[in-house]
Amino acid sequence: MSGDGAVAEGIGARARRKEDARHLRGRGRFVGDIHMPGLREVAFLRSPMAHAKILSKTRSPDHALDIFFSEDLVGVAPIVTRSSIPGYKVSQYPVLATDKVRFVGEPVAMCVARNRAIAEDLIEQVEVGYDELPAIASCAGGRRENSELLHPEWGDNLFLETFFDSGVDQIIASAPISVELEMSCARQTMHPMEGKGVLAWWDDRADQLVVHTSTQVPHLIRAGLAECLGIAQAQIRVAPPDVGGGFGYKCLLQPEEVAVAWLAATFKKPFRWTEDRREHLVAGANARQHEYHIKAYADAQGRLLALDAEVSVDTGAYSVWPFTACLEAAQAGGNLPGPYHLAAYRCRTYSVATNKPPFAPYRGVARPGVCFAMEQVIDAIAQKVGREAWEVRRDNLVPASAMPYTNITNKHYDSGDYPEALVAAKNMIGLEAFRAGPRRDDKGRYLGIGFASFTEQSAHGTKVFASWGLPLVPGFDQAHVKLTPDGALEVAAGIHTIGQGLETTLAQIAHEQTRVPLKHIRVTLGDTAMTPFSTGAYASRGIVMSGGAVSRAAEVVAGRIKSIAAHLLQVEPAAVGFAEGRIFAANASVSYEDVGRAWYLRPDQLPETVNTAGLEATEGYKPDVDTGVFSYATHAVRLAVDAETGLVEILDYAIVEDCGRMVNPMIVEGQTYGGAAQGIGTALFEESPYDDNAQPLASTLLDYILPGPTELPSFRIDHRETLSPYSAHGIKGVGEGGAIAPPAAIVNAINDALSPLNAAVRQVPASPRRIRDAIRRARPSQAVAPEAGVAR
Amino acid sequence: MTQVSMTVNGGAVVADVEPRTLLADFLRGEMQLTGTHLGCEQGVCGACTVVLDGRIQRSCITFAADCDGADVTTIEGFDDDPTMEELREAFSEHHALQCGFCTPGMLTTARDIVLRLGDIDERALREELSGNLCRCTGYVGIVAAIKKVATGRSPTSRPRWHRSSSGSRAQGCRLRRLRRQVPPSRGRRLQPWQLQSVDPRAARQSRNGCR
Repeated sequence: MSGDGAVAEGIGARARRKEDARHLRGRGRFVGDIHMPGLREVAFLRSPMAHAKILSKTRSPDHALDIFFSEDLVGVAPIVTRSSIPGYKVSQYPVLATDKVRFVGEPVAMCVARNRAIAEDLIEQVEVGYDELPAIASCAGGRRENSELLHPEWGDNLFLETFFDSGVDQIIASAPISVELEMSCARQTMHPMEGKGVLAWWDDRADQLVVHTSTQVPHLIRAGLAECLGIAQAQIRVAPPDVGGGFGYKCLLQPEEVAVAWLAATFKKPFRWTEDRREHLVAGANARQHEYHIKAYADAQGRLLALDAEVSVDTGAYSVWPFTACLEAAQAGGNLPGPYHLAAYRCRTYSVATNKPPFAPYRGVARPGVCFAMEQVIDAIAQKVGREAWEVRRDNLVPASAMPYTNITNKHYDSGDYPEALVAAKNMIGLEAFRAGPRRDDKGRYLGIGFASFTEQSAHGTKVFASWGLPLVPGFDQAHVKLTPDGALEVAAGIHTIGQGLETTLAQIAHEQTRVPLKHIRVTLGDTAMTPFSTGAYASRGIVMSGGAVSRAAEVVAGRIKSIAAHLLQVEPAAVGFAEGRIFAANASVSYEDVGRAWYLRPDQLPETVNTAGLEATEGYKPDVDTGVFSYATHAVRLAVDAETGLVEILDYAIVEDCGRMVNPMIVEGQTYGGAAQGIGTALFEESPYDDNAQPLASTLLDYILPGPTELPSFRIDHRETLSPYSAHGIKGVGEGGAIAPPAAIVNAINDALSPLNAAVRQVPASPRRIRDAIRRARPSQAVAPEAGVAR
Repeated sequence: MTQVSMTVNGGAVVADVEPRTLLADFLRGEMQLTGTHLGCEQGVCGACTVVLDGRIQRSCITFAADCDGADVTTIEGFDDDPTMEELREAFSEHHALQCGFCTPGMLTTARDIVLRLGDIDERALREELSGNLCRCTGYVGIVAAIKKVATGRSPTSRPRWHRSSSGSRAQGCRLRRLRRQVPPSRGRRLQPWQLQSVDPRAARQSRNGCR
C-alpha cells in the first residue's frame, strides 16, 4: 500500500467516531424510540417467590387476548442449552413459567396493551396460586445433602462439576511455604444504561418476522428464535437498532425476546417489551458470584510451585442460551493460573444451580473473579516470604523470552512482555516514594498500594469454544465490502455495535486497505437481512474477527479497484497505487468515482477480461492460530482507607496495557477506562444481595450503587503495542480487560493499607461494613489471626 | 385527563394527559421526542434530564400534568444552541460517549454546569455531574470535554433560563438537588417518592456510611 493519509484515518489513528453525531443530537434510535402504528406494549407478571409450585393461574375471560400464560404460547419450545461436556445437566428454561418458578422475577404471565402503564395495570388482573418450596440461596445451600432440588430429575443441584489435576501431591508435600485463602465475589447486575428491549412485527410483504432487539448477537438470536418458535431462519429477520450498552447482558436469548416474537408471529402485529430498571435489578442479577478456596505453594523466594483450588459459581436457576451454565466455571478453572508460570495445578469447579436469575457472561467472564483470587494469592505469598508483592509477581510472570508460551491449562499466550508492564505500572504509581513516606495521611487514614496483572484472552476461536462444549461455536466471521457507483465504500458485517465504536474502527480498517476517505466509508452492522454472518460482539472478539474479515474483503476490493483503475489509466495493475484519495499511476490518476462509474454505469469502458465479481467481496476470517490472542495489563492503585468508617478513597489509578496493534487508541482508552470503572464498581460498590429465601434485596439504583463521577478516579494509562503474530494487523481484543483487574488491585491495596492492623478483606465489594468487620476481626489479637481469609 | 399547555422546544403544545403520565413518557410518546432517554425511571441515572423553566430536571419523575405553563427544552431543542454545539464538539473530541444512551441527559447537565458555574475545578465538576450515570466511559472523556468547554468561562450571571440565583451551593448539594426536582416558583408539593430518589450521590454516601 502506498503511504499518504494512512495514519490520519487508517489503523492507528485517533479518528473521531462516526457514531457520535446522531447521539449528540438525541437522534440515536434505540428499541424504545421506535414508533410504529398499532404498536402494543408488553408487561410481564413475574414471580414474587424464589422457588414455588404453581397451583393455579387465572385471568378473567375478557382478557384471553391480552393476558397470556405458558399454555397460550402454542408451539413455543423452552430455551434449552446443551453442552457436549460429559456430565453437564440440561435445564428447560420456560419462556413463561409452567408448573414451577425457580427465581424471583421469572416471567409467569404476559400482558399487552396500547401502552406500558395499561399493560402493567393488566398484571393486577392475573391471579397466580403458589405453593412455596424451600429456596436455594447459595452454593453451600445447593450442595448440602438432601437439599431441595431445582430440577428434581437431576438428582442434585449441580449443572456441572469439573476436575483438573496435573499432579500436585508430591510438590505440596515438599513445598517450603504455603498460603490458604477463602475469597468471594458478590452477585452483580450488569446495568447497561439501556435495559434489554425487543420490538417484533410481521412484515407481510417479506413474509418475515422482523425483530428489533437490543442485542450483541443478532445472527445468533435469529437461530435461537427459530429454534424456540419453530420458524425457519429465512423467515426471521433480526434487525437490531442502536444498543445502549451490552457488557454480556445482551448476548443471550431471553425468554421475553421469545415471548414478544411469538406475539408478533401469532397476531401479525407489532409488540414491544422494554425492560425497566427494576426488572433488570431483580430478574437480571446474573453475574460475578464466585467463591474460591485456594491453597498455594511456593519456594522461600515466593516462586509458585503449585496451586490447589476449588471454585464454586452461584449459577442460578437455568442455563442461558447459548453460553451454557458452565462457561463461567470452565473459564474460571482455565484462567486461574493467570499470567504466571505454574508447573502444578489442581482445580475443582462446581456450577451450582440456585434460585436466582440464570448466570450470564459479564464483561471479563470469570476473569475478574479469578484475577481477584489469584492476585490475592500472590500478595499473600509475598507477605509470607517478606518481599514486596510486585517483586514476587515479577518473578512469577511468564517472561517475554518465553513467548509464545503454552501454560498449564493449555492457554497459548501469543506475545508480550508481562513483567515490563508490571514494572512500568509500579513506576507510574510511585511505589518507592510511597514506601519511603508515611503509612497514614493527615486525616489518619491508612494508605496502601496494590497491583494486579492479568491476561485477557480475546477473540477465542473455534477450538476454545468447542472445548467449552457450547452448542454454537464461532468460526469464520464474515464481512462484505463494496464500492458504490459514486466511489464510496459500503462495509457490512454481522457483528453489532453496542458502544464499542465498530462503525468507526471497521471503517478505519477498510480505509487502511482501500484508502477511500473515512467520511466516504459507511458501515452497516447487525441486521441479518443486510449483513453476512457473524457470531456477534462478545469475548473481546469484534475488532480481531470482524476487523480481520473487513480487512480481507477490503483488500480484495482494493485489488479490483486497482485493476479497473489500471485499465482506465492504461497501465499494468502493479503500477497503480492509492494516494490522496485517488488512484495513481505515476502522475496520472483517476478517482474512486471514475472506477465505480466504469463498473456499474459505463461497462462499455471496460475490457472483456474484467473480473465479473465486480467491486464487491464477502470474505471470512479467523486468526491463523485460533486459540485466542492475549492482551495483558497491570493495574496499580494507591488509595486511602478510613479505619473508622471503612470508606475507601482511590487516590491514583495507573494502567499499563498492551492490546497489540491499536486500531484507534482513543477507543482503546475508552474501553479500558469504561471497563475499569465497572471493575471499580465490582471492587467497592456493586452488589445484588439476596436473603436466605433467595429474595433479592436491591431493586432500585439507590440499593445498588453504580459508580458515579465522584466515585471514580482520573485514570492514567500507558500503552504497549506488541503485535500478535497470529491476527490480521497484529490486533488483539480489548473490550473486557479494563474490568478484570480492579477488584484485585483495589483489594490488594486495601490489604496493603490495613497490614499494620493485620487485617485483610477477602470479599468484594469491599464495602465499608466489610472493611470495618475485617479490622474488628483482626483486633482481638494483633498477632496472626487464623480465621478464614487470612494467610496462614 | 388533564389539559396542559406548555412550550416544548420553543413550540406551544396543548394536550390532554392522564394524571399519572410522566413528563418523559409524554415527551417520548405524544411528542415523539425520543432523545430524552429513560434509564431507570427511579430518578437516579439522569438520562432523562431536560431543562424545565430554566433548571435541569428529571423528566422520569415529573408529572406532565404538573408542567402546565412550563417551558421545556429537550436535547432536540438544543440543535442550534451555541454552548451545546461546543459541548457536542468536545464530547466527540474527547470520546465522551460510547453507546450514547446517557448522552442527551449528560449533555443537558453539562450545559447547565458550564453556564451556571463557568470554570470550576475537576472535583467540583465531578460533584455537579454526579446525578448523571454513564456505564461506558468511566466519565474520563465526559469530564475532559466539559472542562474544555468550561475553561476560561465565567458563570453566566442570572441567565434567562436560570431564575434562581440564591446561593444554592451554600445550602449544600443535597438541598440544591432537592430543589431541582421541583418546577420552580410554583410552590408545588414534592411527592414522597421524589424525596427518596433525588440525590443518588448523597444516597450513595449515606448508604456507604451505614453499611
